[in-house]
Amino acid sequence: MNSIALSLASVRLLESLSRGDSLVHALRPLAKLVATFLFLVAIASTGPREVVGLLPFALYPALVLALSDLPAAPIAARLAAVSPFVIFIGALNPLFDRELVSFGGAMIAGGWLVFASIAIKCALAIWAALLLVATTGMDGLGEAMRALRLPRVFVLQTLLAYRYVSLLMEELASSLRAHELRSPGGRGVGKRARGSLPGRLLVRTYDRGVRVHDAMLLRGFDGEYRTGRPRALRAVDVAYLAAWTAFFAAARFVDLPGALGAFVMKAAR
Amino acid sequence: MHMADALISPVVGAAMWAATLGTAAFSIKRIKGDIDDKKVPLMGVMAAFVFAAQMINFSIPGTGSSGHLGGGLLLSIVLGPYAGFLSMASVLLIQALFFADGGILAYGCNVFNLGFFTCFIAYPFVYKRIAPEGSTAGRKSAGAIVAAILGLQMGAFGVVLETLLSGKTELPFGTFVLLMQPIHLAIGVVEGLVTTAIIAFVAKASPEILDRADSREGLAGARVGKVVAVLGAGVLVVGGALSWFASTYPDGLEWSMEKVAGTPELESSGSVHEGLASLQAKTAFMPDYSFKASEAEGAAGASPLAEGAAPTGGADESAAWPAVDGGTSVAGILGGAMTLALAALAGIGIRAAKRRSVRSEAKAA
Repeated sequence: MNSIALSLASVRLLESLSRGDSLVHALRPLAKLVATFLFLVAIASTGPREVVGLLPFALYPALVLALSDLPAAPIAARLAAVSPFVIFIGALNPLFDRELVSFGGAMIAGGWLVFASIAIKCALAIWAALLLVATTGMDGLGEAMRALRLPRVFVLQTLLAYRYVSLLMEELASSLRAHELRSPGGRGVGKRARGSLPGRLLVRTYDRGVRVHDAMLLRGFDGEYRTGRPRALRAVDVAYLAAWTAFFAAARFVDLPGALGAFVMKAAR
Repeated sequence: MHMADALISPVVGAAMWAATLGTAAFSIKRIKGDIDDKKVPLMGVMAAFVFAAQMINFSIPGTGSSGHLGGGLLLSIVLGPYAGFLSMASVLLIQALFFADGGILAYGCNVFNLGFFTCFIAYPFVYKRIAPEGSTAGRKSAGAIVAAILGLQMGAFGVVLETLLSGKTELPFGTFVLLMQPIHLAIGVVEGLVTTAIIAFVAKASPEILDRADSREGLAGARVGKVVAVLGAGVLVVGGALSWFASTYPDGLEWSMEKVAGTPELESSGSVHEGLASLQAKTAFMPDYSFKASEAEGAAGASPLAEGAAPTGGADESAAWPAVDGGTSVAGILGGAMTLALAALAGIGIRAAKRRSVRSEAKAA
């Protein structure tokens, strides 16, 4: 129940943020999608005990957040919703990897580094994905998927599914509220409503799908969901992508924190 | 049981993306003659339904806790395996993008674990075998429960394998398996019970929905062998090519190989191998860059730059600062904190500059 309200709020928030008007919003969706993907590949390619080497990558989401004029607080709030599964898997590592490693002169179990690494990667990956959606929106992502030559049927179906999601969640929320009010103290939907509650929603949904499809056909739907002419990348999009690619490569292959730290310590002496 | 980007290596991610794209392309080809393009809206609507239905908490009988629906099996039963798989892929894509539920890089893994096993293994080989067309309600529910359990077990095992091959966590195989499989046994029972209940309800309330699905059962499972063959080839090609590229770094596959076999690389020989290896040595950005290299060599080369910088501090200093042994040097940690601060400052600075320019524009106006 609560989770439905939260999910609806989240979808609406991201959708409204994506209508913003900024440097990043104005970029072609394809450039942003590819940059995000390269970012994810770069952080995923670091070793299991990499902690410090991941930190320079925070520049990407920090800069994109600033350049896109998005409010920091709601994005940070979404970050808190990191997958408990991932944190759980990460937290088990200190139990199994007890090999001692030096971390700034102190010896600690390698498992703690693995845990920290997983937590940082998790936060960075979620942050990057949220920024992509918040600056691009679903229609923009559809355009990017088409530009990548993903099958038309798949893109179309995903865009339609996305359109229906908020609608259905509202309907489901009221069904669940009705159920909750009639079953005090109940924990979840029990045996008696197990089939009928979601089943009714399915039947209604199916009928609606048929009606919408008929209506679309009457209005000349020919199997194509039009999101505007596919737009070519401009110089600014290519520059954006190239700059981040160069930065990701530098952050991945050059020890930036080590160089900076050594430089500062030398200067301090 | 969504895989996240934090647990995955690029090689595993790319291989599973390839497998997913291959299966999707094949499924699209298969449904062309069956559900024509113009009926795609129906698939979209069903995907949205599963998305919403996943948020219903069902009480698990006799435990006092609750679980939710996965939906892959239900989609296969209502839409057939091909359209069901595609709908499941849409659900997972929207979840990855809007809810950070499973990552973008890990998307292929998730589609495979939650979509492929249910739609292409559990549905045709388990559900349809136990409950062929015209079966009694009892057989149908037995089929759904067994298929849901087996589908989820395979999916959970997929998660374990993908995580271990990625080598981003130190969990031993046995522990991980014992952790994942029993939990998903319970979840599978819920999935089966709920799927059965929904199907039974729909069969009474609106049987034409299921009749339509039944009429295209001719396809179910007919070409699964081909799908598996294509997929296997795809995974091998992409995974193989990428491991070649990535194997200069002791992470990912190689790293887990080290855990499993005790040696970072399997013995390999032959001129092709040597040719590729030398090509790879030439093309690699930084051969054998390694975070853990120094474990064996003491104070050698954990990070190339720190290594270069540390000796300049003088002999006594470098003894006091075990700069590069084992893992991360003090300089590295200090620098890491500073890069983080710089990243934050850059963001805050841009924001402040923008605000100022907006204000001065407002004043000018």
